[in-house]
Amino acid sequence: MLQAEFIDFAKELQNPHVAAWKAKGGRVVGFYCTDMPEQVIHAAGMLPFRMRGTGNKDYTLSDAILSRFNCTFVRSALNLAMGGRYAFLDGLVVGNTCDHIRRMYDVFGRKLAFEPRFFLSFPHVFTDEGRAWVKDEIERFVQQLSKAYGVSITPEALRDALAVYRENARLLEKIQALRQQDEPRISGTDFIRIAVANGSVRKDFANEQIRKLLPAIEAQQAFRKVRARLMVAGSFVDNPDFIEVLEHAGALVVADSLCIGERSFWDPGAREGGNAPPPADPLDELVRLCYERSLCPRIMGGHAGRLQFVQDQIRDARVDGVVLERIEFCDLHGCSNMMLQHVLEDEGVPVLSLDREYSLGDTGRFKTRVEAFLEKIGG
Amino acid sequence: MTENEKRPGAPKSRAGQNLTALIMNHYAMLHDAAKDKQFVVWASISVPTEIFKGFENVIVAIPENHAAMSAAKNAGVPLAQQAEAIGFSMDLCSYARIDLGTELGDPKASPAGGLPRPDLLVSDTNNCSLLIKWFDIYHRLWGVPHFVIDVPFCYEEQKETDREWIVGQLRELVTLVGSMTGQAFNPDKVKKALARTNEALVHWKAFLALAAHRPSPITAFDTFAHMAPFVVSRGEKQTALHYKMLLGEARARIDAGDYPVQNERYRLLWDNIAPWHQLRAMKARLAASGANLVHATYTSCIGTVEGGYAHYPYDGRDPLLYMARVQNFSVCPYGLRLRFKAMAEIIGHVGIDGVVFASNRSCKVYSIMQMDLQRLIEEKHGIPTILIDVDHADVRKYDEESVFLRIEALIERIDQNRGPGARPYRC
Repeated sequence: MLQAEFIDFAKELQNPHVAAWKAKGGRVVGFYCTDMPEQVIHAAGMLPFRMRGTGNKDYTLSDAILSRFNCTFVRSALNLAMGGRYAFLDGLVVGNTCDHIRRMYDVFGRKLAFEPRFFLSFPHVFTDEGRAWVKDEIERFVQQLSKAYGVSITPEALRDALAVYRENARLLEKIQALRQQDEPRISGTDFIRIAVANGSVRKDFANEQIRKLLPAIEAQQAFRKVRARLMVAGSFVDNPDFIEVLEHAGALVVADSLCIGERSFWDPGAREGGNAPPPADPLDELVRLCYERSLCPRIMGGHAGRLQFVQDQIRDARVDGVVLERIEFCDLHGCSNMMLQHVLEDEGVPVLSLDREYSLGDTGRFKTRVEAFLEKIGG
Repeated sequence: MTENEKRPGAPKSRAGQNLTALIMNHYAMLHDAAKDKQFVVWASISVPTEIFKGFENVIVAIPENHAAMSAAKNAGVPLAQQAEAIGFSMDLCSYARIDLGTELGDPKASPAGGLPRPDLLVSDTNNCSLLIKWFDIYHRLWGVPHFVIDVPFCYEEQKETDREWIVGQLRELVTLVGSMTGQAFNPDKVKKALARTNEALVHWKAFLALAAHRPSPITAFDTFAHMAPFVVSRGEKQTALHYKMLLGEARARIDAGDYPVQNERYRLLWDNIAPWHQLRAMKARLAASGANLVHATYTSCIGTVEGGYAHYPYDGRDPLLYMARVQNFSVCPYGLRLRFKAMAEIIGHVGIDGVVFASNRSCKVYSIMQMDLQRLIEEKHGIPTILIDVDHADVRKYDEESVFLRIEALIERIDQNRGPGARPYRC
């Protein structure tokens, strides 16, 4: 396992970077989903923090508000917030990404008297009008954020933030390349640890840390004997232990389609543009990042793109089998995974479909199924 | 047997018979029209289907209605099991599982023999996320175009820009149907259909308002059953006539002193989709306790916007603009403020003693804020509430005894609030 203080940030909510940032008077703004314009928060001189359920043990507090058939990730993060574990946040951004997360906008206001909160309503289909809508929403968000904190968010600051995020994506792509090569240099568990840590710090800080990490990853002993090269796709995974269960059985996770994993930095638009300068209006680039490139199943009619992404990953990373995991009660991945499963199986790709709770309470059952899957695919 | 208990087994009223005929004819028509190669649209419940009246020989099927009807006729579970056997998780919406089971499994278990295969799928984000995914599955499997009406999330009154965005999509839908059917769109026919819907809504709102009478001549169960024509035959003359008949009958019941719960002592409000598999049983058991579900948020919102109680009428002008404006009728996707407003309006207009929040395992979007709403209603209105567990179409996820245990507790709280020796209320 890779050793570095930075990637240990995945283990806890309030990491030392957040603590140091707060100690010098910095603000931290939480956000729930990959498609939220966190770059705006960065441009405002704040720390965008990806909401997680790390370390949650039960749902004692959140179940006073949410039903037991609500997503256990959402219930976990809320439980932590109600227990004071998110006290370091100075603001929260919520979008209409799924029905469960969307509800957090009201809950944080009513139950936690939490302010300021920002709501972004994004379209669920890809259209030209949708682009205009997203641009309007982001522009409104820029204004609201400026007003709420009395800060100025200039186009230059947005451009600078976007440059930092572009570099972050390139660095994560390099790590991804190291895990999908024939003899990978990094495990899927460590990859997710880095991705989670990356969502919990300022990206300029993350870039420094990842630059330092890269030589250590390249120098790691290669994974030569693995039972199977797997891809994990589906609901939100911020717990590296989940990936470790797969790898403990002898597999190696060499690719993913997870919103905190590869989908968080995948950017074909930038790749196709090569070295072309970004658009003059930084809001246009944000529209591309928050909308046009989205692989979230909340985008209706986006199945072809999601399938293509998975198929590309299977090809590029030479995947032997796909684990389609889903947090129970997730409608979006419940349908999306089924569509993926049928196509992949028709193409001869072995698929393991796993419904799970956000926490790893049922690890025994999970391990048995993974072992059986690996045997089935001959690993 | 008490007088109250006799009611549910009573012969169907004329409006009840008319409803049965209307629905049976609708499903027969769908299959016949499809055989005649008419253009078949599958639409979700929030799609303003009057828009299709602007074309000739375009028929509309509503899968949610088919699922609800299947559940009401005890066919829900076998159909849902067919979807589960294919691999769809049991925690997905039971409407979706029933419909997917019907279409991807054996449709013979469906009381309507399933639905004719669509030429076009039209869904609406104003329902829920799942519904769009459910239609997307057909789109992928059958290669049928899927048009999504994407409605901005309703935390407040509709903005001008939101309305323009919806109108733009309705125009695109018109263009799409025009190109697929080779027909020109006739907006005058849509205006006529909207005028008929408007007439039906006038009767509907008058019918619902009768719940303010004590005892109420109507129950929420009546509204659940009779909302069907709004779902399957919007914009048709027979629909307006049906609601006129329904209203007339309810008024006549007042004149005759003939009420569904004769000894009505507890007036309850229901929050969520109807428990389709329990309509008759729940109505009977409540009536036996002198309780009547006099209203439901699910059916009260039809014809309103943004948590209002009054009908939002059609002004006879631009049909697309009106259809875009009334997209904000459904309480499902509201934020907390509008959800509370919708309930407060009903409480104010109708008079409610207690609220039954039905936490619906199949409708996460409707259920997700109910605990907050419970507290708000108790705080602001001093009305006792309970939360019960249901599933709108999967009877396997319903336990009558535990539900009625809580309903009995609600009734006790209502009595307690009234104090010893207090009259229940003035009839």
